[in-house]
Amino acid sequence: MMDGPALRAAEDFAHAGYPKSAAAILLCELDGAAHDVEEEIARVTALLTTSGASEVRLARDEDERKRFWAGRKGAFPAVGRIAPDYYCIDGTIPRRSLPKVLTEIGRLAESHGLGVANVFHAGDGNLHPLILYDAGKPGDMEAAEALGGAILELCVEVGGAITGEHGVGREKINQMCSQFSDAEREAFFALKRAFDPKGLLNPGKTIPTLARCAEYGHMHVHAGQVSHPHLERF
Amino acid sequence: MTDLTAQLADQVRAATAAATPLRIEGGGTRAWYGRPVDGQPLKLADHKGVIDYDPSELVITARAGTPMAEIETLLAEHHQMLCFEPPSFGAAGTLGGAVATGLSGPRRPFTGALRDYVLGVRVLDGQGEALRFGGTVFKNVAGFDAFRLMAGAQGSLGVLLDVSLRVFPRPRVERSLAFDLSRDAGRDWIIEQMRRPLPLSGAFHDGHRLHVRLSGGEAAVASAAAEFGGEDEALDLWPQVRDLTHPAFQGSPVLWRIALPQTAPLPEFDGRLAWDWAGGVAWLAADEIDPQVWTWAARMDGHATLFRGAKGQVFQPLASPILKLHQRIKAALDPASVFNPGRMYEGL
Amino acid sequence: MLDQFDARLDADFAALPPERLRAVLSPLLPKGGFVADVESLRAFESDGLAAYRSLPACVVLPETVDEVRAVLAACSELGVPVVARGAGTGLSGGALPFPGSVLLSMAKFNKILEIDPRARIARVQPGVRNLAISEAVAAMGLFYAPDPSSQIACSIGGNVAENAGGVHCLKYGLTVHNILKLEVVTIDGELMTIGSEALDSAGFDLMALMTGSEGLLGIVTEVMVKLTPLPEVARVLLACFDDVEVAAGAVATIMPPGSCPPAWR
Repeated sequence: MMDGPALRAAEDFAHAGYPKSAAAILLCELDGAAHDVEEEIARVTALLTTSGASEVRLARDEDERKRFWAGRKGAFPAVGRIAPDYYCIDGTIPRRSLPKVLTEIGRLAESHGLGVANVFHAGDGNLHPLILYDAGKPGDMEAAEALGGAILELCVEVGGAITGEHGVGREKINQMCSQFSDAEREAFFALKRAFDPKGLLNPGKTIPTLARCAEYGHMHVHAGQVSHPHLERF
Repeated sequence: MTDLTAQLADQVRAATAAATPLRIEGGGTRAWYGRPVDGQPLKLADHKGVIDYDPSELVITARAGTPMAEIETLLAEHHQMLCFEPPSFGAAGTLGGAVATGLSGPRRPFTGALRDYVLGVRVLDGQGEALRFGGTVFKNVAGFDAFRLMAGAQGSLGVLLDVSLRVFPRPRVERSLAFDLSRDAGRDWIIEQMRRPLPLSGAFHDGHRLHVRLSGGEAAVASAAAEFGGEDEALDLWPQVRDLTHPAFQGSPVLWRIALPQTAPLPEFDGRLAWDWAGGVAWLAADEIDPQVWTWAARMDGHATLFRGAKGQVFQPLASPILKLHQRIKAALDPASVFNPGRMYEGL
Repeated sequence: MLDQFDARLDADFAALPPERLRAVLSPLLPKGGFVADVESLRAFESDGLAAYRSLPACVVLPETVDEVRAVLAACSELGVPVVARGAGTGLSGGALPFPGSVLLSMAKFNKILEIDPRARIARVQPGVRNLAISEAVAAMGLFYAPDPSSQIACSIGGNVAENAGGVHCLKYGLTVHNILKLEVVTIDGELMTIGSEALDSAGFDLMALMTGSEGLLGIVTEVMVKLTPLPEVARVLLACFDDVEVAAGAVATIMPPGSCPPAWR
């Protein structure tokens, strides 16, 4: 799924054949035995129409199918044409939280003074908000980093994860303090020591130290349970 | 619906403090699987209940003591299922026992193993601390996959409290066909079929005949069945294969399960031989234990397990560096070695 | 910015003079396999997360498993950190060099070692590109299912380190569902085989632990992947919505059909 800003950027870039007036589009691939796929197309078309789609179009041939995906695969570089820089975020949420999360992302973006284009793996809840910023503008990069962190914490809060496929690496090391408790992170370190007692392999990545989490100082949000749920945080 | 986390944590803390080994017990239906554990029982059967099940999210989360039968009935009401087709060894079998033993049924070579469907767990570590690994979403690469590590670890690494499993819609149509093909010819035939995108969901040879199950949409199943020919048979065969109640597994003091590459030769030891998992698992019903089976399995890049008749060794011996790594991993999560010590291997 | 490592918050290692690293590591590597001049190091200062930059002490480019083992054993002896790098397309800074570290590039491990269409497996070195596997087996009616967006460039070793998914992972699974066996070198230089060509293995599921471990547990030197039959047909629907929230609500109603069980094996 792509929202308006993402699909328009992708269309201008890749000429995939997306309707630029739409507020969002959803691509749904069905593969398998020819007869089954025919049946599924009918089933899914009906489902999408009932769920409020204004139009459901089947790629006519292999060329059009590839073009539809080229738009999706090109969405990231395409967004690079509507803003000087973009920052791709990678969180996962339960699919039922998507309407709420999209609204919150919009609100968070506004409060950080930045734009966001959304690309989403609809089938598995993997969210890729693309934060638009300008590295040449003082403070913009830091604001993008902060907004990205806030979006990931939102994912944890609705019961999701801070990374669906990009990994923690260095980028999300602080958000690991939100996703896991001290004891859980300590268990990860203990597992690491079973392989690498001196901690030489890829230090400073993936698992934050207790010192980092203390310094980072964020509240620990655990599987949707926050310590003071009545407090307004958005 | 009872949450016994606090009591269980107390018992674990006390056991760790006193260095008393614990024997983790669920419904007791899989107690025969593995080496005997000398320890105080830690009973999970009353820590039960489905915590969350949203069919549209394709996830179920339940406490470890929840009977598997209850979970499968609930899923069936929503036309969903567990794709790894876990065996049942009695009505009392629990979710925790299924995950800890990690066993998957005849669907395994077609739709994946139990560990592929574990999305998250909550476990008690050796300190009695409840740790959550993974979660309830399919795409989640935050931290090590300690939740998948728990699948098949037989309770050696922690006490499973809750488990989240990925579920899927049931196939719309299923059919079973039987063929008069020998063990080797049947295996060669299914290997060739698996190179094509066919709706296969089971391939079992009982020593006499090949049995093939098809699952999927109406059209795909019908066209595969028409092409294959064979003789239509009842689908009840498959639960018997899954639960090892089929005659091919019965009537001998010793039962070996030998996992091997699908294209490796079948074993030639004394006894009756059947195969499941499209030829990826050989089942040998024998009169006595032939230790050559371990050596042969290792040479084939597989491994053997004694499902019946074990004396001491149950699982394939591990290479020394791998066993040491296992010991370090266990020590990382269970430093006082209180969880099911010796269940998998002596000294682990 | 997070590309600045902090000795107090992250990890602290005694710095080694570059000449010491050269003296120890260079003899273990083929000609040109040890790089320490700043201009050349720049090519390795970041991965796909280009905003984060940091220079290693040196880059090593081994060509054989024995060289990897020797380098790791030496680094362990010296107490110097090691950061592994595949194709450098990762988006989370996983291959960002730690200051003073040895950056271990697996780029030279770029060969497909074996394809067995009958067993539906391929044995590949970690530097092989994801898409190169599917291209090599397409004529046999097979493909390697996980398809991250960067599949044209990303390496299979990196996919294992990150447990990469892809557009089709709902049906075909993640990397962990599509690999059978790994050859791994530990920091002490020990070579271990994890998993097997059989569908399961004795003991703990170390494959599950290694996959997605982001270079923190060991260095993968060989991967056995499963190959999947190409589907008969693939069709795509494009649904348009006038309202984002309606679209978001529709998403939750889409389910994998009962004719389409997961196809990872």
